[in-house]
Order: sequence, then structure tokens, then C-alpha cells
Amino acid sequence: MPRDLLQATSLKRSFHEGGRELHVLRGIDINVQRGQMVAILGASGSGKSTLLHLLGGFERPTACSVIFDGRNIYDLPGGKLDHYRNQHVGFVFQFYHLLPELTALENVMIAAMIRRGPLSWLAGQGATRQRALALLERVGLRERTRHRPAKLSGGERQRVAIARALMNQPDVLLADEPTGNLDRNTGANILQLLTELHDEGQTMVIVTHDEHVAARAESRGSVRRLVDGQLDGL
Amino acid sequence: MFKWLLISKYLRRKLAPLFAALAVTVCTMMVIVVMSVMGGFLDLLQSSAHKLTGDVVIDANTYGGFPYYQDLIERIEKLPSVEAATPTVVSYGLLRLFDSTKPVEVMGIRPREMDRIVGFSQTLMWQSSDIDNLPTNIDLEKLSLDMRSPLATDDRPGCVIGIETNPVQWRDEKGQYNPGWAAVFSEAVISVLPVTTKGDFVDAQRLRCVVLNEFKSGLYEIDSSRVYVPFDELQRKLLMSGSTQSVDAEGNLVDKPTPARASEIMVKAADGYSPQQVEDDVAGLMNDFLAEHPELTVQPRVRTWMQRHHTLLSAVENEKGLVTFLFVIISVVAVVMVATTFYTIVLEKTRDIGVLRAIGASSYGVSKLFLGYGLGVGTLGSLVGLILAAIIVTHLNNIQDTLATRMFSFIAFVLVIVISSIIVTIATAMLCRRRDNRLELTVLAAAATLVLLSLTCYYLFPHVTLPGIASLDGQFGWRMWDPRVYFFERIPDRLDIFGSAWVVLGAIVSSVVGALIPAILAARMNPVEALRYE
Repeated sequence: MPRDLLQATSLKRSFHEGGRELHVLRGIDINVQRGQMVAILGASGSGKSTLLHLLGGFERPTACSVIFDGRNIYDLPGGKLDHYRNQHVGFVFQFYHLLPELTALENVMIAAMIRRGPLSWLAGQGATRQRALALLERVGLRERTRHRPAKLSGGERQRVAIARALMNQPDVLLADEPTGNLDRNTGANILQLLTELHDEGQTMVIVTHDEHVAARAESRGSVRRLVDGQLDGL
Repeated sequence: MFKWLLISKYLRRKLAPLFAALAVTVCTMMVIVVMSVMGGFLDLLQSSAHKLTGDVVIDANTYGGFPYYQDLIERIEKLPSVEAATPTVVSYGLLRLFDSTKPVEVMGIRPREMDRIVGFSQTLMWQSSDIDNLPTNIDLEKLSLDMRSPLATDDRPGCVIGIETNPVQWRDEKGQYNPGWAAVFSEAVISVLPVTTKGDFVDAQRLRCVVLNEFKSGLYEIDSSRVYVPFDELQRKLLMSGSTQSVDAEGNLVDKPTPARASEIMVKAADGYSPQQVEDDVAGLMNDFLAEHPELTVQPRVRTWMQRHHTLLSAVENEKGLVTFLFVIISVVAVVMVATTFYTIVLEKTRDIGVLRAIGASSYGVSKLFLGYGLGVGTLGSLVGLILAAIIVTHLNNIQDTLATRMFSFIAFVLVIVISSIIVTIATAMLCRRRDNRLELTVLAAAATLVLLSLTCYYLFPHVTLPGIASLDGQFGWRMWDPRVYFFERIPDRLDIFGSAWVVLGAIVSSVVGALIPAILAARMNPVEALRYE
């Protein structure tokens, strides 16, 4: 039995809004094994992104914990939690969230720069640059490395975002509606890229409301549906 | 490491921080210029005051002077901390010159000793070559140091008058005196009132002398009221030269020997000794001297030149401090500008902060990003301000001359520059847009280059004027520093390097302080909230 890389049991998250308690996640059980692709399907506003944020260490659950590699990430001190987000998790957003002042190459490299001081950076700058270039080549953007996000199409921006998420060789890639802001063809290309990465052994959790994405994931992993704050297996 | 990358990107690709840096530049420049000019005045005043009294002065503390000064001078000159000392006699009287009479301070000096102690010859205004129709064998400086008439048959002593005591002398718009109005070789009549050791007046004495030169110390109060005459002559006229007779309490001459008296002793410190050290040594000597002469009812005072001119110097020093303080208060606007700019940037960059936090940047790292940004703005702004201030301070007199004589030509020239800059800027901006280059930086660089080139041309070809403008320049002009009003002809133009370093440091720290609250706000931002920010 392979060991769970990421695990949450009875995960709950609620918000106070307008003087009442809003229970978004009512007890989520989820296990992600190394090399697995998990798709979470849910309607808009069902709490998919909140679940992904909890798994990614962005915000604390109301109850229960998120276990990564045997340790509760929310028991980690602040600096270690930042380290978890930087080294163990790669995040792909629906709206790409690239930094507009940086070129495509710099946007990819910044993930590696964050945890390094000037001396460490100077020592490993060449290797980091080579890896960033290799990743951009891998996502088909070798010729667009010096372009800023404003000069890239939506699909290209999402490819840069995927390259950035992979920069630190994360244990798990968390993708929040990665095709949600793209047209059908471009979305299909991005999905193809993600499946190729999965084939190469990348563990990933994708949340989506798109049945096509779920169908693609179903053939190579598990698909879970998020309804009323709880997950059902399909 | 990401912080430095983003700081450099934000600085180069955003106009808002450049405006903040501009505010820092203007404030830094303003404070440095004010501080340097006011400091320059203070330096000039100090230098002038120093040249009037030497390093240390012993004054009688009474109009009647003090005796045994020669004995005291001999003892003082034996001190290792003293290079030389000279006595002076000071009185007040009336100067009659060119049918004009005015009250003056009459100082009897030994010119060559004065020259050694305070550089007396350096304050003399006129050389032989300045005066028309002067025989070639006459050396005005030598005559002034000898204080004697050029005519061997003339038994009148010589005198050197303050340039502003000459009733026909005046300064032109450039602050220059006219040698044609010099009173050289004119006769001056000085009336003085001797005073007994007990403070009683005796009949006024007249001293007819030949004006050998005029002096300019740099202090208007001195130059408009002081006349130098030979020490022995004035001492004699004031009945202070010592004699077998003395004046009794009723003002009558009686046969009683009195020692010669002097009003002051000026002392020059030996190399390596400070005025304070000399003052301490001389004060020690004075204690012994006074112990030997208990009959001295009024004790002479020993003071350094700074203590002697304390009232004047501290007033200017206070003014300098006050004006600098006011400009520093005004400069708080730079801090507010930086804070406002950074707050706006934090709001604008909320989502980016969320992204950075999401990919692993710590809240501390995000706060350092904005603090570093403030540091960058402060450093850039203050260094540019320092450079501009250095250019302005060192060219202040040129700027004044331009405003006074070529103001309209300059304005016309500036307008040409501005219009050209706008055209070049628009053209560069269009070119950048087309080529996806770094827009703001390139535009600024283009405009700055044009301005610098234009100013260089203006500087290199100062006499080129625009048609029709020259007549306006001739009729109007603004002289911000009128040397006819202020006594120094030139505006002090030396950069206060030490003070400037503090101002630059202050500007940098202020910018970081301005960025502090936005940095804390950014650090406290929840990544999820930041990512959802619209």
C-alpha cells in the first residue's frame, strides 16, 4: 500500500459573513498518493478553491488538519509553512497571477529566488536559469522567455504559470481551474500538458467545474465531486 | 533575492516611485543648498572676525587701557603655544574726510606686527597699479605697513581707513568698489577724546594723517567705522604713552610718572595650538601678572576670537540652524509623498503580494521588499538631490549673473528646451510602445539628455542671445543677491560636504520610514484575501 503524500480527514472550513456562520467545507476526507492525479469536480462557489488553499497551506482550517508527508502543516511555524508552499507545493491559478513587471523567464525563476539570499543566488544562478529555460521549453515557450505577461496570450500565461509552479520540483502540483479562463482549444492544450506532466510522475490535484477535465482525469486517477461541502467519489 | 529583482523592476517601470524619488530629490537639494549657503556665510563671517582679532585677544575691559603691556607681551611671546603678540590702542572719535564728518572707531596698531598676526596686508584694498597717476616708485602696501607719508618732508602720520568710511566710495551692482573714488593720499583729520585711568575726559586731540590705503575686512560694521593709525601716535594723542606727568582726578596734568597703556593685545597661536589652548596658557600667565600688579582695579579679559565675536557669530549660527530646521520641516512632505506613493503601490500590488506569499515568500520578506523599495527611492532621490545641489551651490553666482543680466534670454532658452523635450519625449514614447521597450525609463532618459545637452550648450555659448530678447535683458533683470545690500560680493558657493552627507542619510532614512507602514500592511496581508483582491 503506497504511503499518502497529502492527507486530510474531516477537514472543515467556515466563514463568518453577515453575522452568520457559513460552512463551506463540512468534513472533507482526501488522500493523495505520490504520482496520483486527483480531480475535484464542483460547481462554482462549492468550496473547491478553499479546499485547494487549505491543502496548499494558504489558510487555516476551522477544524482538523492537513498532513503532508506525515506532518500536520498547520503545526509548522510560519517560516516552515512558507517553506512548504515554496518547496513542496506548486500552485497554478485560474487567472495565472504572473507578476506583470517580470519577463516570462523571471516569473519562472522567482519561485527559486524566494528562498535564496544574494550569495546563495549568485552561486546557483546559472543552474536555476538553465532549469527555468528548460521548463519554458518544456511548456513550449522557449522563444517567449523575454516577453512580459502583457505580451502573452492566455494559454501562454498559463504555461508560464505551470513552469513557475514546477520550478522548485514540488511534490504536488495544485491547480485551481487551470483551464477555466481559456477557450476550449487552449484549455485542451493546457490539459494535455498537465497529463503529460502526470505521465512524467508529477503528483497533482486539480479542481475544476469542467466535466471534460474531469473525464480526462478519470482515465488516469480519481475524480471526486464536491457537493454541499463534502466529497463524494464518482 | 527576489526583493532586489522586484525593487529594480518597480523603480524602472513605474512612474509613481519616480515621483516619490523626485520629491526626495527636491527636498534634499533644498536643504543642502540652504545649509551650504548659510554655512558659507557663517564661514565668511568667522574668517573675517578671526582676521580682526587674531586667535586670542586680551582687552583692557575699560576705555583707559591697561599698563605694563610690553612686559606682558614679552612673557606671552615666551609661551610655546604663542607665535606672536601685538598691542593696540582703541578709541572713538570723529573722522573728517572730503568735508564729511562721521563717528569712527580709531585703532592704533603696529601694522607689520598686525600683518604677522592677522594678515593685515591682505585686507588692503588698493595696489599701486589701481590708482591713476601714481608715481611708479610708490608701493602702497609698503607705505601702508610703514604707516608713513610718501613725502620725506611730510611729518603727518599715515592711516588706513575702512572702505565704507570713505564718504565718496560706493559699490556698483556687482559689489565692486571704484579705485577712482579711493581716498589715497587725501588728508584725514581724526579727533579723539583722551580719558584718564579713572575714566575722566580730557580735551579732544586732533590727529592729521594721510590716507595711505583703504581696508576691507568683510564685516560691514568694521569697514564702515574703523580707522587704523600708528600705535605710537594714537597712544600719544590719548595720553596713554606714559610720561613723567599724569592726569589727576580733576583732569589736570600733574608731575607724576605713569606707565604706558594699551587697550588690547592680539595673540597669534603657534602652529599646532588651538585658540582655546592659547587662551588657557595666557589666562594662567595673566593670573601671575595680576598678582604682581594689585593696583589694577579693572582686570583685563582673555578671550578667544570666537568668544570675542560670540554675539555676531552665534546670531548667524542660530539663523542657519533655524532656516535649515524650517526646510527640514518642509521636507517632511517627502516622507508623506513616499508613504502615499507606497500605500498606493501596496494597494495596486495587493494581488502580486498574494502571489508572492502563495509561492512561498514570507511576510517578513514581503515587508523587506517594500522597505527596500523605500530605501531605493530614498537613495536614488537623495543622491540625485545631492548632485543637483552640488551643481547649484557651486554655480550659484553664475545663476545669479544669468538672472541679473540674461533672465529673459534664459527663460526663452528654457522654453525652447521644454518644447523640444516634449517633442522628443512624445517621439520616444511612440517608438518605445512600438518596440516594447522600457517606456518610462527611456522617456525620462531622453528628456534628461536633451535638457543636459541644452544646458551644456547654453553654458558653453553664454553670449548667444535670441533676437529681440537682448533689449529686455538690458532693461529688466532680477538680482537675488544684491552686493550693494549684502556685504559679501559673491554668494558663498562651497558645498557643505559633511552636512550634505547627513542630509542624504536623513533623506534615505525618511524614505524608509515613509515605506514602513505600507510595508507592515503588505506583510500582514492574507495571501488568499490578496489573491481575491480586485
